[in-house]
Amino acid sequence: MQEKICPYPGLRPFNEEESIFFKGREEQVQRIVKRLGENKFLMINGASGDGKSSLMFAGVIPYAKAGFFNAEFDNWLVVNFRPERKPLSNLTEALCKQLQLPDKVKVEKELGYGFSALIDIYKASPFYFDESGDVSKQANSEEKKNQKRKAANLLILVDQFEEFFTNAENYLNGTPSNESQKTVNVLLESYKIALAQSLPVYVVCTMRSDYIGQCAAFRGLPEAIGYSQFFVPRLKRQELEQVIEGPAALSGCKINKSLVQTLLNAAGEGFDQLPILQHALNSIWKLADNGNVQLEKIHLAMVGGIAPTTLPAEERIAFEVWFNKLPEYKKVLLAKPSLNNVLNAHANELMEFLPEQYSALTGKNLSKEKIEHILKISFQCLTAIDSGRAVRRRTTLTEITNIINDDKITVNDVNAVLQIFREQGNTFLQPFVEADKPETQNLQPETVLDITHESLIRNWTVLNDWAQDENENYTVWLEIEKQLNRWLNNQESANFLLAQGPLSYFEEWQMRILPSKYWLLKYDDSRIESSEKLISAGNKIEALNKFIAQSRNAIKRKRRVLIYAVSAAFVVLGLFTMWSLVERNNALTQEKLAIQKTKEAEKSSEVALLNKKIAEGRQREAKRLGGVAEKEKNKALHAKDAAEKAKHEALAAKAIAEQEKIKAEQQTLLATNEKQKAEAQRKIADDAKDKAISAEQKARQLTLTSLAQNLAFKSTEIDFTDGLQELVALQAYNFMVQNNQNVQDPYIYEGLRNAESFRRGYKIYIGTSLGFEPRTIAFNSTNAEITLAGKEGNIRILAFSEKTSSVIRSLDLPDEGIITSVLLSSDAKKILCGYADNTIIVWDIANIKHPIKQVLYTGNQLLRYASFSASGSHLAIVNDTATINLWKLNDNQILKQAGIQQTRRIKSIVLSENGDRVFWSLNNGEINFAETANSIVKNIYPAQKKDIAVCMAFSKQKNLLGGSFTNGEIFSIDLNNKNVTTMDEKHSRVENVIFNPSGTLLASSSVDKTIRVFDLQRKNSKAILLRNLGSKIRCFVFANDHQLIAGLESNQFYFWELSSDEIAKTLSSRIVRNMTQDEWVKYIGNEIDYQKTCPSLK
Amino acid sequence: MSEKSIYLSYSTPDLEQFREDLMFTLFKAGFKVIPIGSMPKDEHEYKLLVKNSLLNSTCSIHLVGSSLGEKLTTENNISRPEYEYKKALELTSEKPNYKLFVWHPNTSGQESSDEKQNEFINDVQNNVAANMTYTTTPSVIQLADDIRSMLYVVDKPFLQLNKIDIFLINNIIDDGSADEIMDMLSDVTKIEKLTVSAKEEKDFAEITSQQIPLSRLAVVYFKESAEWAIPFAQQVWKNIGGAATQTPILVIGDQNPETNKEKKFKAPQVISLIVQGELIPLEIKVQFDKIVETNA
Repeated sequence: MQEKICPYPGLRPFNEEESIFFKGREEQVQRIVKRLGENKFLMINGASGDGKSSLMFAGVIPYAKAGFFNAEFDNWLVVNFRPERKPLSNLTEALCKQLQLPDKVKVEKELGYGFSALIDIYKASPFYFDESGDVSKQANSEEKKNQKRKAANLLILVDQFEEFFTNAENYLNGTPSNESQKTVNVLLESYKIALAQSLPVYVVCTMRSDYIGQCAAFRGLPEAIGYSQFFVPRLKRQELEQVIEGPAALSGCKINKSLVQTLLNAAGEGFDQLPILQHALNSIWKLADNGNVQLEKIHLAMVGGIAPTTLPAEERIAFEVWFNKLPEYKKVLLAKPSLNNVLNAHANELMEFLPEQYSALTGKNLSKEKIEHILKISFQCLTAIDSGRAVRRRTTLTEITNIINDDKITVNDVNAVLQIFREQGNTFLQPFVEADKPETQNLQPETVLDITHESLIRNWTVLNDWAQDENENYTVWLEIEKQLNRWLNNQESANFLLAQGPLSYFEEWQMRILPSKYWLLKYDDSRIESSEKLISAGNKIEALNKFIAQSRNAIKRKRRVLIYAVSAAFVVLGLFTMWSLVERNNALTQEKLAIQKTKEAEKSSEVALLNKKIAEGRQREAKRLGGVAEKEKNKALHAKDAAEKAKHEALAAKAIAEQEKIKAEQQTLLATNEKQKAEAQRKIADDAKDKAISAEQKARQLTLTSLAQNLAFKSTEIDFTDGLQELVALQAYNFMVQNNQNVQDPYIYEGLRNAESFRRGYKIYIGTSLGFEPRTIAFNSTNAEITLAGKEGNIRILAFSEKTSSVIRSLDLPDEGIITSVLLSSDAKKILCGYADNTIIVWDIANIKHPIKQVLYTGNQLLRYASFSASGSHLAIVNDTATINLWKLNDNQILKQAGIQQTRRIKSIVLSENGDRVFWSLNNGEINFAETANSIVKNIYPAQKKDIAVCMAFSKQKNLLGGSFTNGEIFSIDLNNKNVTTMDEKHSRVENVIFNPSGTLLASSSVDKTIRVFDLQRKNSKAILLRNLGSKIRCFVFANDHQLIAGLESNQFYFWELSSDEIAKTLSSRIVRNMTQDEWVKYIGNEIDYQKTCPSLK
Repeated sequence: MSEKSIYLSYSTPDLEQFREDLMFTLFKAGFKVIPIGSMPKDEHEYKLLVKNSLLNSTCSIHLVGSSLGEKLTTENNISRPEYEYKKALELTSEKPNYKLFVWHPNTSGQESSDEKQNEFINDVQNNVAANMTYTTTPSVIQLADDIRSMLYVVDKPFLQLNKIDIFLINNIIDDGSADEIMDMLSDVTKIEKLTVSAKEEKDFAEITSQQIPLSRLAVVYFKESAEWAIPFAQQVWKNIGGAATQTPILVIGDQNPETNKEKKFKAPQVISLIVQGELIPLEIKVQFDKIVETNA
């Protein structure tokens, strides 16, 4: 049987060979040919994805070559080119190829003169025949016949004319480049001359209609378009039906009518109608045994195009049988069926095969994450955002490799990663792989890659996200570039350095993006030479680094100034206190005076009362004597007058006394007010004093902390001399203790650790080469044993000691194939191995001499993530993109407990202590959990695309979930109330996190070869940094609350004491002397009185 | 274009507005819509009206929605919309040019709560017959435009052509050698020759599309015109139906010049050969005899 050719090209346009299957556009082809024949020029406009290129390559050109285009000659020369970044060179290249002209330089120079240049070249070639011309006249009949036979019409096709506008080399700030103007001029003049002289020369351009307005930038072009253009019409339902049914019928395969109608209804009227439809048909055709069986609706369901519920009953059953056998990742791809999803699912599925494909092509292994990183950067290079819309961007392999900016990644690696997207049947990237052309497989570094159709960017959600991310990166760059330029334009003035907030933001961005000069080069639109652009980009990156470093230093300086300012504030407050005390004394004096006056007034009042009483007594005596003797009457009247007088005097005295009393009372009130005022002022003064004291204390604490940190730092620079290094580090620690400050401060800790390790002669307590790269580690606190295992299946159990370590038991697992990943359970009784053939085995190594294996999985999905519960009772595995399989570990066997399916890609997973809960993060930022008993999925942290948790750990003690987001933030989630805390300090590109047993510390290891230990009780404190390891951290574990053990890529494993108190104790026990006075002055200064670092010593 | 009658099915109450909109839109698009007026209640009267209206129409449009509609007791309790659809379907098998449109403006995207209606819709969706269109377009204008373009058939120009054995086609470049082949074969077979020349204003695509089906073998011959012959054969093959064509195409080239050796066209119902110049007439005859033998 003859091998069938797929009549549906997929995402790429139809080529000339495939014109036999190009249906539905016959009427349009005829209209174009008619107009072109009359006008010699045609601008074909249309929206993206409406088939302009196919219309030319599979419609007009084959139609003309078949002799259906009424023209002068029977042969056709098609000079087809895209402007790209060198339009004149590309026109020259295509013209020389067709007219068989060897001297390209000469031709390009000639064409550069514009106007009749192209026509002159054509007329001078053997492909033009003029019966009345000199050449013809001089020829004999046989020669004439040969000339006539060879003569050909000339069709110049400028495909993707919009590249005159989309490339900055051709068009910048509304002005076309010289080369562009020459090219357009020669094209327009050629058709005009052809019209005037009736020459068989035709010029056709295809262009996206979005750019029609910009054509005014070229002289004569708007007139030419107005004179002759063709707007590609939207296909009617009947024509679309032809697009679907026609190729099938022509190639001899059958297509179900119901499928045709379903596709027509699903295609709708939207953007990308044709490419999406062609891609779906291509996929369906392959599923239908390459067209050997009828194309059915079930095939569309199988590629994720429609819901199986809409299938006829028998197809629905067949679909279910087929579906149930699918790997989980594939089921997820089909979860949201639609015609657009066919393309999305196809592209996502290719990503699944990347590691295998890469290994097969290179013979090397790279982690899936690394491969996806290469893929992401590559596609980011191949896309650009133009006016808010993602568009294609042609890029060479070398450019992509340079932008990846990783010494270990070569052009061949990038080629191997991308190849699957260029293979026949996929054809998402050009150039396509052709089986009979080896050069299309191993591409040259300068090969230009291009996304086949923009519909891929719009419909492959992953790519769209990547493109948007890259655009955001570029936007951040533009922001920082503005700041940088301001700084540079102001002679690098300190006034234009970054403030704390922007600095942190840009530093984080810089650490995440690692912008290189090649990355920057990508965005250089200027028309200067590439080499100059590269130098300029390099200078900019250098300036950026300097700018950020200087901003950082300036902020450090500002902090120091702040400390001085606080001290000054203390002095001011002291003065204020003194003034308050003086005021208070004044108030007290006033108060005393008021009390004295009150007393005097009271005394006067008493005298007046006494006088009153005497007068009243006299009055009573006079009354008694009045009745006895008349004589006495006058006397009595006298006496009465006297009494009256006395009474008046007494009343006057009383009035005076009362007045005095009121005065005294007023004085008292005044004095009370003064007293209250004085008390209020005293209170203010006391508060101010307290504040001043507190500020003084803080300032002192800050000063001492700063001094202690400085001292600790100095200690790391002291050579080992007579114990001085230990003394300085310990004194720094003492200052912190005396000031009740955090002794776990990273400077203090590093000083102590450094001093401690110098005494012992090596940086970290122990470091023993294992002979293999440890990939997983477990610590048994009961026996103080460390278990380490590597990817070769080697397991070593070591007796744990701070000083030495020795292997006490070992085991090499039986060979079951190449191990790709290993994971020990916390109790080191079980080890999970994922193998290259995707098998997953759990080995029971409780009895190290007799390991017992249990195969958990033999399918075709590679093990991605796994987690043992700390108690060793449960195991969770992710071995496709979006399904979690839960296993219960009994003594003798492992039983599958449940499967939890998610619609998005899982990024990390962790089990709770006793395995009753499983937590995982998804690629949209969600963090979910489920109880293993019922698998009901609940959300803890909502979808936040920017913050995807890349690794997580669980703490039983605190009921915390800790981890790291992609943006470098370290977080902990309190599972009691779902409160999320993020640490002030970040750690970028974290690969793993672990809690210490009490849940107070969270350690993170990063690909930058560092470990950071965060104190969760001090959110804003700096993390302890374990660095200078020289190689990547492969695994790590807490031996107890303050001791950490890690296995490194360099086959070593290290131990760290994390507690400053513990290290200080060790140092104190070893110190044999105190600092001399001179040493004190040299390292601490005169301002702080000498003290013994170790008081127990002399 | 003469006024065409379109049968527009009665609708269930939920689609009443759609029916009304479509009816007026079709009027404006230049169609006559039948039946007019309300649906007869009497089953006999209703069935008679449906039958007559369908017979008088060029195509029918059936609206389906979430309701089943009124049942016909005289037709095994099938719904009235289903009855009309089935009657129209019968007509498509009797009248090859009759076109049937099912419009399912599934605006809510929800399935019907009526199991029987779901079965009916599922049956319609999954058993689309020839000349039938199942559309879910939400736009009345678009539907009317689709109907108009599907009913509008461009008549092909009539060419006075005869049934022949061999239809020999060549380019003007090779006209001399093609004449020699013609001479040799005309004695033994009924042969016609067509010389294609780009300079001529003839509609070669139409001529070949009509003459080849009337021939038992089409021959595309080339010697110096290979650049023309292959694209020509490809376009012709496509125009006459590709793999479904009844007339095979022999694409035969002279092995001189050497470059011809690579000029072949592989496709179903196409024989592509490069042979020695003198043997070409013989090879054409051999291939023709084979076809005759196979079809005998």
